[in-house]
Amino acid sequence: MSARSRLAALTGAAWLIGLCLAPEASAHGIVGVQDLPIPRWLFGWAATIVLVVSFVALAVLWPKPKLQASRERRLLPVPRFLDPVCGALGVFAFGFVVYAGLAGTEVPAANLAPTAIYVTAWVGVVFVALLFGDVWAAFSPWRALGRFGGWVAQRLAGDGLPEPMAYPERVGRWPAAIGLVAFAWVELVWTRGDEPMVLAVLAVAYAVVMLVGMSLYGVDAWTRNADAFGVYFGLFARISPLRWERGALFVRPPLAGLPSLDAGTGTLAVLLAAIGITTFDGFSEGPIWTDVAPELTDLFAGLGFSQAVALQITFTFGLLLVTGLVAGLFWLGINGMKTVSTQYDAHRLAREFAHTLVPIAAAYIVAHYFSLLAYQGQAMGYLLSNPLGDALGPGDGGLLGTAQWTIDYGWVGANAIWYVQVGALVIGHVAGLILAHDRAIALYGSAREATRSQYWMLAVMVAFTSLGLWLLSAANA
Amino acid sequence: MTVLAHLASDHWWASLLYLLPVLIVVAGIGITSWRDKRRGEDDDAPTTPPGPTAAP
Repeated sequence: MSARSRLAALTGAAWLIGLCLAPEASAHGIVGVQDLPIPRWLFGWAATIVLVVSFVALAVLWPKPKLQASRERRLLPVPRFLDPVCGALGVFAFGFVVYAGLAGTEVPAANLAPTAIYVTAWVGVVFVALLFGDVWAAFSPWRALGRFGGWVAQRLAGDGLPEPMAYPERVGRWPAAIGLVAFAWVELVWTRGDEPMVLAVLAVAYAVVMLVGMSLYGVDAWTRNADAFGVYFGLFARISPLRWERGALFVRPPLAGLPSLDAGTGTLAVLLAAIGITTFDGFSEGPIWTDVAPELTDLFAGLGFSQAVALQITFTFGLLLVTGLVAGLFWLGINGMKTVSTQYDAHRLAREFAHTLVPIAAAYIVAHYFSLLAYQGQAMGYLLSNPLGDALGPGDGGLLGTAQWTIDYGWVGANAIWYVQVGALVIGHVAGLILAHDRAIALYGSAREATRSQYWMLAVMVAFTSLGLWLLSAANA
Repeated sequence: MTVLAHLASDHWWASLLYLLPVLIVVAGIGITSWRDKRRGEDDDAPTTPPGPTAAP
């Protein structure tokens, strides 16, 4: 057994033991008591049956690649003035959130900045991207500022403006992957990560880094590779049936945007980080982690760190460990594929099948954060009217007259949330199977060879589905 | 239905029930892969050339 195979086996074993030992875990799905007709674990079995039946159906009914060639048509023209208008709105919204963070109350729940960043932007934009395509690109404040800066420089310097440097291919999307993990670290690990002023300062610092990068390598190359949010939302937008281009809106079958994904250096890291972050977010609220974390914290405190620093080291370790386990699970599937046919090496296969992780990451995000968006997202209603969290008198509606609104926890029930979560996980993983099967046929040439190569990817999909349902069921217990 | 809905949900070993389908699928795939491999080896095995016919 090679070192890599041993590592893959150990990762699989660690994941299985983790799943066995934990009686429950938690996520953002705490929505109240459910009254389901069957036990929650039976949903896991049903999801597995759906995946296996889908796999067999694909093997029989999908003999030729159907998604590899781009099939889109122009739906309607889009006025060119919309791009700068959307960019200006994005810059205004960014400034508004930063101002609220700097000038408003330090109580996170009463200040606009934390909810705007962690709920509306981080979670809400993913949902928008899945439905309407890469809308973020139009509203991205740093992209809009970068383009405006480029336009002004072009006007002033004319032909004397130097060309941007070529973006280094070997760096690829690694800056975006590191940016994602850094954002997750601030949100999930750093004890000051919910302070409005800290968030505002970090947002400005991020925008400055983006502007410097864009000025060196060009707006498009930089946002396509190094802007963590641009890359993250752009990946999910490929699932959408809509694609925006300067001057036109195109329509295509859902998922059809994924096979053309250029999974260059760092793309896989972005996707594995996205799944790992969501998994750790759920896992870190569960009893395994709440049992283990104090022990680890004491261990680090014993090495001379303060209690707060030791706690953050513990959570950093947990975040990286869970992300590593997710990556290990994917590598198990890739190495399993290699055992069926030695035609391609593992790196080539990982690159060819990276896009199949996009619907899985989307499924995890929808399943884990749907209830957060459904409930906490409503807070934007009153926070927009009172962004600084000022003490208002009774009946004072604030800026937009909505400051007295409250969150309605009754508009969607616990059962409905659970069905959305299960549905998202099953649909996301079936979509992953479809993409993997389609790519395998294109790669191996025959449906039989393609199906054989996907045996272990099916196991990975079933494992990811069971893990997701296990995390959610515990959260809803 | 109510009895079924609460079956095992409150026990720690309910977590194992999430693992069971994974194990079944992995076992099934393992067996299928092994059989495919065996079949492939059989197909690749050289056929025995006909020996000299024994003199009557």
